[in-house]
Amino acid sequence: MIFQLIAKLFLDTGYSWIRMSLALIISVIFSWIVGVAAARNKFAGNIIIPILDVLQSVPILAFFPVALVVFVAIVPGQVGINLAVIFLIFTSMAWNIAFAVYEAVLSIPQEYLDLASLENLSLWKRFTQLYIPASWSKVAFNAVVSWSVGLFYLISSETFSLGTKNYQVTNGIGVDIARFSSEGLWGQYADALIVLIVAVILTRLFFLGPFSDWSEKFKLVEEPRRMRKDPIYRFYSWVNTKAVSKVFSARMRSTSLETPTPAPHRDKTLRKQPLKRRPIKFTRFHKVLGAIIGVAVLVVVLIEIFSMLIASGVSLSILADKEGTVLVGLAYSFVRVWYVYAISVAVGLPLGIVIATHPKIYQGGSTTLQIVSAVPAVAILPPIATSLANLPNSGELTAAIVIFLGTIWYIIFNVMAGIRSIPSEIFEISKLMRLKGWAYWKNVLIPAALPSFVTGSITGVGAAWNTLIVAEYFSVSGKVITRVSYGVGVLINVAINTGDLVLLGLTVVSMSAVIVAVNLLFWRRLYNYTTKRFAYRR
Amino acid sequence: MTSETENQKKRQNGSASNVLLDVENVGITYQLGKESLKAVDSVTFTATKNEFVAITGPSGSGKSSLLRVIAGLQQASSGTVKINGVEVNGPSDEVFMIFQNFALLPWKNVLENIELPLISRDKATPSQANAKAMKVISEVGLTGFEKTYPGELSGGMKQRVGIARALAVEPEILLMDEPFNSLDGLTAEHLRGEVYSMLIGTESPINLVVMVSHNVDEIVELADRAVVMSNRPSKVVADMPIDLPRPRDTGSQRFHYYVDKIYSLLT
Repeated sequence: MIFQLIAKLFLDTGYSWIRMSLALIISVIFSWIVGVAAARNKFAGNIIIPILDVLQSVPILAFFPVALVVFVAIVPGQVGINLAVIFLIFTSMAWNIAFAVYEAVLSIPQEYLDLASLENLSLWKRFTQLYIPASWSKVAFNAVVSWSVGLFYLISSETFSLGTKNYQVTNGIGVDIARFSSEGLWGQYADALIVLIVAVILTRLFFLGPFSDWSEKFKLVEEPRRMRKDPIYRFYSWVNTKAVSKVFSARMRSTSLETPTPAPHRDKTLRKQPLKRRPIKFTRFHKVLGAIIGVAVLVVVLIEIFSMLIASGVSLSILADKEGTVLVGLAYSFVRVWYVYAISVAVGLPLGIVIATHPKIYQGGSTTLQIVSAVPAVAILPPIATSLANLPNSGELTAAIVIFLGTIWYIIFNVMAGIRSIPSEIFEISKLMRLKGWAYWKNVLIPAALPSFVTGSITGVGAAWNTLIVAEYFSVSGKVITRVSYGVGVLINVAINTGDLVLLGLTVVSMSAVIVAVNLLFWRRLYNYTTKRFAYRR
Repeated sequence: MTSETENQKKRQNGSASNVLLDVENVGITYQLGKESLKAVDSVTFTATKNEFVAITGPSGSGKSSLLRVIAGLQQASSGTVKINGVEVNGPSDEVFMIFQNFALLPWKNVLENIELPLISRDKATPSQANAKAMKVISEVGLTGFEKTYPGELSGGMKQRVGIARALAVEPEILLMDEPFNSLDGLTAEHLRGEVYSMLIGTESPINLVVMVSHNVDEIVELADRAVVMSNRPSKVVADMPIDLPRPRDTGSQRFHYYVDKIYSLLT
């Protein structure tokens, strides 16, 4: 009986993993196309990078109902639902991989590009012999990150209620977890959670781990041994590694031996292809132009939407009324995100520093943390909600805990990576200066962790907004398991359940606008400042 | 020139009782997973007051590790290091260090970088630290750069900050780990020309400089003595005085004699 259950759970996980893998493959292909285009073509780069930046920061889970309706309308039944799930996971996995490809291609040394021009390589050959090998190791690192992020969306989307209708894939570990927890079958729920964790570990050990180990071979510029052996450092080191393939240079040599290019041909290439590659630089002109185009597009879209709404009989007063409701919810959620973020920082920053500075804790701790962090917060939401149900303000408490669990890992891991990337000379001079205790933290450790702490905060707050949509209001098959009184998560779910598309649209747009604005006005500046002042060797 | 004759006088007064640094049978073994790698087999040498000692050897011979053992930053696997007859067990008050990559804190400006060890190590008050830092800043030629951040400085200027920071704490023994290695050739040459008088001036409290370097010209230009190490696992193959008048003429025959001699010991 128990074996049957375990076998079924593994089978369902297998189905879920197929969805995840398909989404990952699509993400990687998408990233190679978009990332290379953005890096090699200045005009494309000016358009693609800001779009990726926005898409990366908006809470995609809020758009899922729309995607679900569209996919099921196009392809009815299971195929449509599966496509919608894969699409959602794709939208959670793709952006960081695309940025990784962009950065990797930008950092290809000029000699390699010159050589490619001299060899007159076709676009296909440039991809297979230059761009793909050069970005391989960064893609591998990011695939590991994306897999963890994607799991959250897999669990959130395999079963989904739209109003009274429940959309659900036939086999999937997310369905099992939701079903067992809603029926109070905690024994089976625990089995499902264990199977999920085992699957995550096996995937890390036998698929993603070897994949990124193997991709190390593609690096031309090597890091010090201490760094290379360090999982956390490797995990997050794509920020400033220059990756170029040894395989590429070897193959390049063999290509030139097999098919020597005639000299006149080469001259033509030289004239046709500009050899100087300039990295994309946003001038004031570009920024102003971009802003004007952006605002113009936004105004046109808004006018269109308004005229459509007015034409379908929605009056301005109703719109204003609904927007008022949205703003109240948004205010509550905003405060919720930031106080939970503050708690995550208060816990995660010191914890990350302590773990990273104590080799013995770090050895065992980093692997354990990676596995624990891979369990999506939404999967452990049901038991948290149930065990807290009798407390006052249980909804608020549940939301806070679940958002916290969705946020803190980004802080801890990034702080750890930041500390681990401090040059050993800095630790040595600190010892010679007798820096100890608070003076050591204040003068060395905290400033050194700042740039990666800010990076972690940006992704962490992004994750908090996404988790919030589930954590503020969670229902399975119409049965509400937990909810808060006010919040955008509540509004989105209420709007979906009542089929109020106007409210849904207003909520999603308002929320995205606030998130993007905070990113541009606050995080971007903080990031630029910290990387300028606090990073080693600019 | 007066400083030079005084230094030579000091040196002549130096005797066995003046032994400041005593490195005895130091061995260094690394643990790489299950394998152990013996970098330094056994190194023994002593240094007296008012000496500039250079340690050199092929890459991988563990010369930088040896320097860190002397600094008390790293444990020797065998043997002992004594400073003024006291066994080194962790960073001692007599020692400070200049690093290959400067080891400056990017978030502190030049003045703050120099003040920090004065406050944390020597327990100076902020005003004492400031006065001291301003003094060394002018000594090493950094006046006007007090509020500049390391990231805005050239490599040569960064190393000047490193030197100023070391001078400010007035160590009895100054250790230098490839101090000119990450500078370009011309900057390195320029700084090398100035560094001796900065470190071993009459006012300087520094009694001993131990420099690790693989640049033979640099060693002959600066050091009173060269300790040459062999390949891994390394031993001392030569401990030779470099008997040249200062300031040293890098074009002289005697200079080339020493360069050739050290090269032949290294290969």
